[in-house]
Amino acid sequence: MADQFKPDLIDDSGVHNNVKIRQTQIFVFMCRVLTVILGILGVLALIKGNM
Amino acid sequence: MYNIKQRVYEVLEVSSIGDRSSRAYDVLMTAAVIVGLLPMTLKSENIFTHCIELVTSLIFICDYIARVWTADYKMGYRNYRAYIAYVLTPLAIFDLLSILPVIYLFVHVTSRITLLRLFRFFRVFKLVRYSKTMVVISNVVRKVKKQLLAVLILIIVYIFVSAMLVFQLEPDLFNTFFDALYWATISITTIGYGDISPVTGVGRLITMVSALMGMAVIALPTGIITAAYMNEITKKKTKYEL
Repeated sequence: MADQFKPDLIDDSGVHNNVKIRQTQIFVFMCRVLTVILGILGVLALIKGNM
Repeated sequence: MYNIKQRVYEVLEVSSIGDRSSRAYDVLMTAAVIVGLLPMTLKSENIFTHCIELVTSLIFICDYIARVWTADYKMGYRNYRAYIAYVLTPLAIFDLLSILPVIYLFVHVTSRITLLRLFRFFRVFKLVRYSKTMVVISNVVRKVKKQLLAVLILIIVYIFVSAMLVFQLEPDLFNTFFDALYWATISITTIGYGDISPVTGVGRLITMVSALMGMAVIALPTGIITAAYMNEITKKKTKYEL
């Protein structure tokens, strides 16, 4: 169960990248970056609009 | 087999506990809705409000396309009719209307195009998807919509009747019938701005009756929604205890 969150799978033939986990990490990272960008834009718009 | 369409549907709609993608997406959409409404609190536009409009509209367009693409999962049947049925649901219509304000960034601004900015208001309805409390309230309203509609019709009929009466009895007070409707609405809701007030005895009598009727009629929707909300909460509590 804990391996579900590890990006790499290990078996006898070697170490494999878990594509699904990588895609999830990239998607979550992009969502968080966009959320932060929106927050910054909102604060800047409020400051500029009320000046 | 890994089905990307199903995965997109799970992120958009299912939102299982522990699904990090779904949680991050919900947070992004909630932030986009709230930040997207900020320009409506400012008197003038600036470069940052234009950027907000652009970014939030792009996010909402991608969200809308993804939801239409996974409409067959949402509606429960694999047919082109599922896509049409989804597009005609109220939330899908609100989603589409909330994207329209972006047009004013790309076309010459006229008074009609400026009105499109008001469509930003529809973005508030998107929050229904991302808040459990809003889902409960919308379920409650859906269950009692017939009773609420009946009360609304009663109120509208009363407003029209009292407006017509006062419009005939006090012709000097009102320029148009719309002024009489405005007066009737302000009286029955017991707001009473006082900008328009009858001077004749019969006009004042109708005002007094409107105020008394208003106290009873305006309280009806509150009672209906409160009773239905308590039922919903009690049902959920009982379900949890069982």
